[in-house]
Amino acid sequence: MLVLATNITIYSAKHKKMKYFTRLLICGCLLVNFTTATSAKTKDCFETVNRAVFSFNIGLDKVIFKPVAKGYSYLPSPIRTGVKNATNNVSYFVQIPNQFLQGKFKNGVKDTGRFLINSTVGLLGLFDPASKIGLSKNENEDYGQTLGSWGVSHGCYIVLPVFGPTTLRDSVGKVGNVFLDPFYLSTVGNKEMLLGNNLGDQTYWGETVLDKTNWRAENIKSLEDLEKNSIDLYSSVKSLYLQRRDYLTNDGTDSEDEWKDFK
Amino acid sequence: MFRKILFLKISILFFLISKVIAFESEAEQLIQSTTNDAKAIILNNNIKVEEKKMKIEQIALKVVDVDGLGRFTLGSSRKNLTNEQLEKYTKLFRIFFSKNISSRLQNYSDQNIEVIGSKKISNNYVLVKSKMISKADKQEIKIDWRVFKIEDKLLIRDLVVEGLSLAKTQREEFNSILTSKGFEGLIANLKDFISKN
Repeated sequence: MLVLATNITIYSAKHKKMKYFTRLLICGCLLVNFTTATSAKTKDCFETVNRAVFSFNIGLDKVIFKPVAKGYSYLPSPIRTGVKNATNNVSYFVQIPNQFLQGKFKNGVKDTGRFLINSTVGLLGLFDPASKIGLSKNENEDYGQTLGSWGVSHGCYIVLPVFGPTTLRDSVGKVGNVFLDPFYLSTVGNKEMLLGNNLGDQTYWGETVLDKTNWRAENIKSLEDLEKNSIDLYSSVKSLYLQRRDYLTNDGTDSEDEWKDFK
Repeated sequence: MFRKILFLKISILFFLISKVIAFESEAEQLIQSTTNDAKAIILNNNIKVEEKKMKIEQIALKVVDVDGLGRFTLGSSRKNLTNEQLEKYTKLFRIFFSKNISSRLQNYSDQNIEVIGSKKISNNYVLVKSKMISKADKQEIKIDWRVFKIEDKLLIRDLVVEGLSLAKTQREEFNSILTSKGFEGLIANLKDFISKN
């Protein structure tokens, strides 16, 4: 909801974009605590509403997203790989600044190298020559993870219509992922940052749709498996989302091993 | 005299180190052999699907501490249950677990699991690290296995795929049902799952 509401405001006052985002970020940070972020402590403050939105999203997935993803998965593998490479390459506009904001300078430099090589030699990211010369892909980084690494806890768990599971902290991060993204600013926004011109709204939305469709197509089997083997799908998805976000924020280190004291 | 004490100390040290290494390497071997055995069954086209399921279930019940996992998935609610309730739950959980695991493993076909190391967490607990490599696109997925020594037997209690713990996910799912529907609600949901699978 936060993202949708923000979208409307941004369209009407593009020039106030940065000021508005800064206000949102501050408000968001005030609403969440600066404590150790762990999934176990995350509250489901709006569970009834969340469950209703989750059911709506599942319905939407069955009718639209899954059939589209299934159709997409029939495309030849080199095309799907190219789409994945290109959308991954675009994500570096968000990933690189977040590496530096989290103090991961080595990863930031490596990602910048990957981005430059793949954008040029790799024909706008369609190919991944950087991996072949040893610049392998790092784990994704975004503004939500950066807030987490700065000690901001999740806040409440939220399920957004269409966008799916998130938390208050990650919602604030999502706003940053959009409005601080140079690719967004030079497509939907009015800046001319890429190739000296504005690439137009359709470039951004086209890339976003391809990215999400590719992700859904890659996860057809695993999501079917999850649905089949869950006795409460909502809780499973919530747990998996929060665990994954903690894992990414903590860079794969297990902050709380509850098995240590288990008897 | 001094030499004898030194020799004794070194011997004890070597003995302790070798015991630790043995525990870790045994745990690694358990994971490698179990995944190899499971893969051989999954890829064997001469076996019917139902037989495959049964064989996978047998392997899982042999190497996993199902009762321990069942207790963990109850979380703090376990303390509020009577012995009769616990017994009823444990029996159902064993069936639920075997049905669940065989159903999940059937989807794995072209992946190889390679053990890459292990880390001793405590005297009876080792974390075995492995990676699953897809033959098709060479994509690598990290899988950690929590292996415990229980009454001199090595048993798996949890597996963590790219930070996602199977046991933790199951516990939070059960906890949600326990909170909204109570113990009998959880039993009813488990029975319903078993009857459908």
